[in-house]
Amino acid sequence: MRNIRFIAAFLLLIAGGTALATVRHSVHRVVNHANRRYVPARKKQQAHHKAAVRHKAPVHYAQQPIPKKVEFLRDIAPILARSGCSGAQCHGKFGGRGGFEVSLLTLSPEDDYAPLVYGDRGRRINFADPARSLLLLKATGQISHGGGERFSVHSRRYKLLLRWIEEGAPFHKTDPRLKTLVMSPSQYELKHTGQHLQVHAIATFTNGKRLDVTHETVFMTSNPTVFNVSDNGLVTGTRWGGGAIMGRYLGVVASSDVTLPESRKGGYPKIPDNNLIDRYVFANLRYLNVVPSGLSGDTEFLRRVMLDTVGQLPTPGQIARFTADTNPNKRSILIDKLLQEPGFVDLRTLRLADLMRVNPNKLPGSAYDLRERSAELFYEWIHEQVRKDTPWNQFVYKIITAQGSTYQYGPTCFYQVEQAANDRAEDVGEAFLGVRLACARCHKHPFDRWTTDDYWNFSAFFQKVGEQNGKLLDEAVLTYNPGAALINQSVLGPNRGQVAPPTFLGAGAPAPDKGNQIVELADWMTAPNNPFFARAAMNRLWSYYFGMGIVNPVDDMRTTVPPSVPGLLSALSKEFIASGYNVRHMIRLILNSRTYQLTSIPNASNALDEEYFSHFVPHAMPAQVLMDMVDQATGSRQQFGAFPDRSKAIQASFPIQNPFVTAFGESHREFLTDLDPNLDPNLMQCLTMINSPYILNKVNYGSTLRQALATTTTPEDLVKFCYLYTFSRPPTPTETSRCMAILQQAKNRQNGAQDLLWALIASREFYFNH
Amino acid sequence: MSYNLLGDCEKFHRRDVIRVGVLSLLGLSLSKYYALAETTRKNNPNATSGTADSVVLVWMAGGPSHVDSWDPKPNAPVEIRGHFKAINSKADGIQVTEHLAKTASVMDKITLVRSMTSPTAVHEIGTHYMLTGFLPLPGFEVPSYGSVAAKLLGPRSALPPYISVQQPEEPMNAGFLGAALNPYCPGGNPADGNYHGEGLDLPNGMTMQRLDRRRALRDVVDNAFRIQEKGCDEAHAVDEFYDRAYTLLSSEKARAAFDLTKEKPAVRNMYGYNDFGQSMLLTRRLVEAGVRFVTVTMGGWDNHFNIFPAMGDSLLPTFDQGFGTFISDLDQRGLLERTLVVCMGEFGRTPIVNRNAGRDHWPQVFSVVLAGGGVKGGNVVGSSDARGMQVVSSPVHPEDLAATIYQALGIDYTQSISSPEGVRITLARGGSPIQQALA
Repeated sequence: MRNIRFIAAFLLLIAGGTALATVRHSVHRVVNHANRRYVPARKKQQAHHKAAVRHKAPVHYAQQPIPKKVEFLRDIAPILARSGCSGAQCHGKFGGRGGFEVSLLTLSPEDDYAPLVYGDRGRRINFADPARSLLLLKATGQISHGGGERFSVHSRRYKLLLRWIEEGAPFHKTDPRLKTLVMSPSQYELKHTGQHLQVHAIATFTNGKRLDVTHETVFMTSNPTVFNVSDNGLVTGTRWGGGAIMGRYLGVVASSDVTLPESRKGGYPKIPDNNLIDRYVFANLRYLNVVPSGLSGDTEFLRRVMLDTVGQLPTPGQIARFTADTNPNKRSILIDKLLQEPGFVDLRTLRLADLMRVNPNKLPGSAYDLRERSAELFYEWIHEQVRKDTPWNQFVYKIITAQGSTYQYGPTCFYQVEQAANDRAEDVGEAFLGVRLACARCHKHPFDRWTTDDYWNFSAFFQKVGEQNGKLLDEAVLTYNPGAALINQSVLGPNRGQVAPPTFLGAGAPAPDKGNQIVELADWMTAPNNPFFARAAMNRLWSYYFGMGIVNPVDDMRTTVPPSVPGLLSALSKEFIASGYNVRHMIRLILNSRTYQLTSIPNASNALDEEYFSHFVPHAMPAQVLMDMVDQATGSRQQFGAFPDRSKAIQASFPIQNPFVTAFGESHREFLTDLDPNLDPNLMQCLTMINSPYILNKVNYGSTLRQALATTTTPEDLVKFCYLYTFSRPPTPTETSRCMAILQQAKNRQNGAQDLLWALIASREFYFNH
Repeated sequence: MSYNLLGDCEKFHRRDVIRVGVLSLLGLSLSKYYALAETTRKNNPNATSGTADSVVLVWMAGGPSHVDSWDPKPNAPVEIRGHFKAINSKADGIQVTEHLAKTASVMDKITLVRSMTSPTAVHEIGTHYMLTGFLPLPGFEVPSYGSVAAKLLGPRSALPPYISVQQPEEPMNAGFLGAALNPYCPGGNPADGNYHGEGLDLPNGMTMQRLDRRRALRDVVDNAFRIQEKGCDEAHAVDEFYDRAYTLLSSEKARAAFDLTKEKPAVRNMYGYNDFGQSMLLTRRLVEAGVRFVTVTMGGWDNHFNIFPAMGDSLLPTFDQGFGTFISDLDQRGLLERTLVVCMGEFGRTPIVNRNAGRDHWPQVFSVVLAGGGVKGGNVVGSSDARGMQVVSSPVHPEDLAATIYQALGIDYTQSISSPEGVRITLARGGSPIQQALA
C-alpha cells in the first residue's frame, strides 16, 4: 500500500516533469507528506525505538510511587487543572470562588502557589495537621464544597497533596520547570471506527527529566464527529476524517494529528489534476480513501464562477454561447475574461471594505458628511489598488505605515476604525495575520501559544501611531510618535503594569528600534519569511471561493489546529510569494483548479465531507450579491442612496443596511466579527423571501416577467425562460411537466408566471452558490 | 480604558468574534451545531421542571433611578429623596414612588429586589451584563437568556420561541449560538390602532390559497437541490427555516397572537395607548399563544437632566399603566403563575441629584422587579442604605439573576454550553437563584 502510493506520487513528480518545474518543490512535499503519513504502525514503533535509544523511555509518572520530594509544578499545579479547580466556572473565574482564585485553566501555574499557600492568611493549608488542611477537606468533599468532591482520600492526587503539605508545601526557585510538551504519537492513522489509540503527553523538564504525564494532562478533541478522547488520552474513532487531539499540561498546549481514512472497499479511480491545488487536495482525499465528485457541468460552472468573480448571474445569451463553445480551454479563457471585468474589482473591493470595516460610523468626528468623506476616500483607495493589482504585501504595507491627513489619504482611516493600540493589534492580527489575540489580553491564550506579553508587546507598535488635529474641522493627521509607550494592562501577566517593548509576534526579543518602528512592523509583516502573512491571506482568499478556509475559523489559525489539507496552505503561500503577492494570479489558480470545478453533487463516498473539498460545498453569497442577483433575475433595479441609478449593491461603498441585506447578513462593519459577512441562515430571510413586498414587487413589476409573457407562447417555453433567468440552466423534462401541472391551477397566465418566478427565486438553488 | 486596570477579563468592550458560515474548530458547521441543539432539545421533556413556561423581560433602557421608583428614600435629604413622595402598596410595609400607584396595587404579586449590584456604570457593558449574565468577553459573544431558552427548550407553539417586541439591542441576540436563535421582531408600531403584526400580513394580491400553491411550486423547483443538500448542512438549515416561516404565516392562531385589533378598545385603553402599553398588551397575547421568551423595551430612562419632570410626567405614568395592568391582567387570566416577569435596567442612578437636576449612572445598588412564575408576592429582597448608595443586605449579582431566570424555565443553570470555537461557558457563571425571592 505504502509503496503504491509512493510510486504513484513519484510518477506524478516525473510526469509533472519540466512543465511543472516551478512547482516541483511543492510536489516533492506531497511525496514527503504521503510518505510520512503512510509509515505503517510497525515502522513507527521502530522509529520510536530509535528515539528511545537517544532518550530513555519516559517514565509513566502516574504509575510511579509518590515521590519523596513532591514538587509544586510537577505534582501539585496539574491537579488543579485535571480536577477542574481552575475552570472558568470555579476558582479560575475572575475573582475566584469562595475567595480562592487560581489562574484560569492553570495557564500560569507559578502564580497559583501564593493563593494556595498564603491566600487568606494561609487558611487553606494546615501545617500542624496536614490532613485537616482546608484544601484537602474541601476537595475531597469532607466539608461542604460548592464544587463537590473532586477526588477521594485514596487517590494519588490526595496523597501527593498530603505529602507536599507534610513537607511544608515547598516551591523552590530551583525546582525544574517545564521545558517542552509533546504528544506521542505526534501523528497517527486510525484504521477503522471503534479503534482506540492511546495518546501520551511527554513532558521534558529543565533538569532534563522526561516524564509521561498523560494522567496529569487535560485532553480535548478538535473534531468530536471524528473521534472522542477520554480524560486519560484514549482516543476512539467514530467516523472517517481527521483532526487534532490537544493536551494541556502546566499551561502549555501540544497536539497530536490523528486521521481515520474511509473504510470504502474497491479500487480508487484516477483523478486528473489541473494544477498544484489539485495535487494536494486529491492526494489527501486519496489518503482518506474518499473519492471526489466529478467535474461540474458547463452551466453549473458558469453560474458558480460568475457569482464568485463578478457577483452576477450569466445571462441566457452567455449560457447559450458558453455551452455551445467547443474550445477545450473555454473555462480558463472565461476565467481570464471575468478577472478583467469591472465587476471583479467591485466584488473584491467589497470583500476588502468589509475586512477594513470601511464605515463612516466607525470614524471619529462630529459631522457625518465629513466622516463619510474620509470613508469614501478609503473606499476609493482600496478600489484603485484592486484595479491596479497592487501586490498584497504593498497594499498592507501602505495601510500599516499610513501617515497624513484623513481628508487626503484613504488608508489613514484604517487606524481610525480602532483607536486603542491593543484594539488595532487585534484587528491587524485577525485581518492580516490570521491570529486571534483577544484571549491573551488578560491571560495566556488557552488554545494557542500567545501570552499576555505577546499581546501587549505587539500592541505597543500601534501606540506609536501619532495623531494631530488638522487645520480643517475634524481632520486628523497621522504621524509617527516615537516616544509613545504602552503599558501592559494584562490581568495575570508577569509584566502587568510595565512598559511593553514593541515585539513582533512570536519573536521573543523586542524589535530593535531603527528609527521608525511602524515601518519596521510593516517590513516584518510583509517579509516573505513572515510565518503568518501569506498563509493568512491565502486561507481567507480560499474561503471566498469555497465558503470555508483550509484552517477554520479563517482568522484563527492556531498552532494546535491542523489544516484540513496538509501542505496546501504552504504551497499556496509559496506560490503567492513567488508571484509577487499577486492576488489575481492566486484567484486564477484557484478558479482553474479541478477542486474548484468539481460538481456540488456528492457521491456515495464523500457525502459526509464538508471540510476536505471532495465536492463543491454550496455556500451563501454576500447579501449584496444576492440583492443584485434578485434584481438581475427579476429585471428590476434598486436605488442605493445617492448612487447613480445603474449602480449595483456590490458597488456601495458603505453598508446599505436596508431590511433585505440586513436579513441576509450584510456586514455592518462595526465590530471585529464583521470582517466577513454573516451568512447564517435564519427565519427572517425566509419570511423576507416568502412574504415581503420587496420581493413581490420585483417579481410582479420587473422586466423579466413582462418579457417572459411577451416572448413565450407555450407553457413549456415559459418555464424554460424562467429557469434560465434564475437557475441559469434549462429545466429537466420532469421539472417542466411538474411545474406546468401546478401552473394550470393559477387564475391566469400572468399569475402563474409570477408564482413560478417567485418560487425559483425563493428556492435554495437560487440562493446558494453551488 | 481605566477599567482594564481593574483587571477583569470580562470588563472589556464587547468584542465579538463569532464567524458564521465557517466550519468551527469542532469540525461542526453551524447548522450541524443547530442539529445538535435540536437533539438536546428533543431530549428535554416537553414539560419542564421549572416554575415558568414563559419569561417576560421588560427592559428599561438607560438605567432607571431606583430612588425615584422602587426604592424610595422618604427620610433622606431632599437632594437624595427627590421630588416624589413614597406611597404604601398593597403589600404591607412596601413603599414605592407615588407615580407607580397601579403597580403598587399589585405589589402582593411582586418581589422587589432592592440589592442588585453590578460593577459597571457604562451603558453598553451594563446592558450586556444584565441581559446575558456575563460581562462582555473579549473573543466571543455570549448569548442572551432568550436565545439560550430558545436553543435548549425550543418553541411551545407555531410562534417563534423568542420574540423581541422592539428591535433587539445587541445583547438580546444569540451571540455565538448563531443568528438562527436571534429573537424574532414583528416590526410595526403596536400603538397603531390597526396593529396586527404587519410583518406576517400577506402582501397585496396574495391569498392563503395562492401562498400554498407557491409553496407547492417551490417544492417542485427546489427538488433538484435535494441531492446537493446531502453534502451541505447549511442547505438543511435553510429548508428548516422555510418550514418554520410557512408555519408561522399559515397558522391562524399564530397570526392572531399579533393581532391587537382582536382586543376590546377598553382593554387597549387600560394598558395605555402608547408604544409601551400596547407592547405589554401584545406581550400578554404572545404569552397566551405560547411564546417562550418575550422581551419588551422601554427607553428614555437615562435622565442626566431634569429627571423629575421626565420621570414624573411621562416615563413613570406610562410605565405604571402598562406594567401594572399587565401583571393584573396576566394574573386574572391565570397566566401569571407560570410566567416569570422580570423588569430591570442596566443600573440605577446617583442618589444625589446633580446640578442639572438629573441623576447619573449608579451601578452599586439598584432594583429589579420579579413577579409570577415561582416568585413570592409582597416580598422584598435585600436593601440599600438610607441614602440608596450601597447594598446593605443580600447583594444580588447579575449571575444570580441569570440563575433565577434559567431555573424558573427548568434549565440547569450550572450546565455549560460551548461556542463553535470550543470555548465553554457556564450559563450562570457562579450565580445561584435568589432564594429569598422564590416561593
